[in-house]
Amino acid sequence: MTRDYLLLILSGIPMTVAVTVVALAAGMLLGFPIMLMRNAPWAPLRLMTTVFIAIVRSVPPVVWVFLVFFGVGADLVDLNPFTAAIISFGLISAVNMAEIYRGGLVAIAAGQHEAAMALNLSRWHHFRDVTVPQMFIVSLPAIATYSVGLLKDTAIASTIGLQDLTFQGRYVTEMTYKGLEALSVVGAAYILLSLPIAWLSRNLGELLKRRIAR
Amino acid sequence: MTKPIVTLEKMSKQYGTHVVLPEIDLTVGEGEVLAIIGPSGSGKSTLLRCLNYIEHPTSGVITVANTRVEVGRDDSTRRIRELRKNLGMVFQSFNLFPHMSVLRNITLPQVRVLGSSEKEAEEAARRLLDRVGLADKADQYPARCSGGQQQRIAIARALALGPKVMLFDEPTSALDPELGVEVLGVMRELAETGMTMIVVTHEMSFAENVSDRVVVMADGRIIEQGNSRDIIRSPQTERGRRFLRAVNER
Repeated sequence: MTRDYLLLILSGIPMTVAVTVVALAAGMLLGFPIMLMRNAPWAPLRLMTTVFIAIVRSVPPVVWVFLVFFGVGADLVDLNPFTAAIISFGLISAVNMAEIYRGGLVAIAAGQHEAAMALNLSRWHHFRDVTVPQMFIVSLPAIATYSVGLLKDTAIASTIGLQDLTFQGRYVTEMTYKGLEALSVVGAAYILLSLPIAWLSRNLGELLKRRIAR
Repeated sequence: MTKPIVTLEKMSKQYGTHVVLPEIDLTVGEGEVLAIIGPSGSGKSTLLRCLNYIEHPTSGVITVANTRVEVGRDDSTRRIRELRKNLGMVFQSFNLFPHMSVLRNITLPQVRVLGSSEKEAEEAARRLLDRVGLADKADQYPARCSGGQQQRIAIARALALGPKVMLFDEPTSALDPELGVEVLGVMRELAETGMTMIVVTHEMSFAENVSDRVVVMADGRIIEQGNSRDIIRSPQTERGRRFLRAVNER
């Protein structure tokens, strides 16, 4: 494997990282209102959201990517592979984030809510100052774990022509017929990208647990 | 008794068909320290939690200072918040906010509920921390404090809102005896300042020596009440005698 080919493969890293980061950010943002709707006091909204989450989660990511790129992208609006990948993975991570947040909400000790009530905080301040920050802290390790999965899932977008790590690996394979070497580089690059997130998830969890544990 | 500040009239609490508190009547005078004792499951904590609407009572009338709340009739969110304004509460498990510094735990409610400025709130918080002997803990997080310290911080947090009555729900039950002493010391000082206090407790020496009056509860009912020393030393009911004998023989 020459240096040029190696660099060509690695040139896919920014695209992989970009799709992961943007989709994750969109998911973290959109997941919040989805979680609120999932917990809404009004039953029809709650039911609709539950069904929506189930549908998004039941369809394999690769089908979502095709649906958005070849379906929506071809018939309705013009979408480039990057936009299609962001939409697909943003949607998928949004519903997953909603479920992670919901778990975080449940994990808050009942005494926290009792204290907020006894201190006479308004419902809004109770939510904003007591519930939401703790929900996020409790959710962080799960979010980090999810983002490792998302990073790897974005490889699927190479099938619609997104020039990411996997796409470049396949491209080099086709040019050199040295699949083992090229794709090993790709695999190693994914591992190296995952490591900091995995490290963060483990240590973040410990750090926050230490802070929150009584 | 001095002028009543807390009055419960026929307050009841049931979960479905299970009656936890059948119609309780209770009056607490201004400046009085009332200890509620009795076996586990007798409804002591439920009584306290219904009084400030952390749990929704089923029926009755609750009056605290000038706020009279009729359960089910005149208990809008606004009325309940008015009721809670005069009630501070301290929990068995402290319930400090773990994501905020000790100082923020005490300033935040003041800023949010009383509308204090950050500066006023901080001054009040530091004064109260000093009073409970924890001035040096202001910038720590609760998890870095011992249980006894956390409970004293929780007392400071409740006092910062200027309540007329303080409710204590087994404040020392989660603490080992030495740490419990710190908390009881702060409570004793508070009682000396004339604060009205309702204390659910298993600390018989606190009940006997600090409280003015003891209420003994069993099976959701008040079975006995009166002058602390009399009740603790010579309970009149068979159930009360059995409970106190069990406590004293430990």
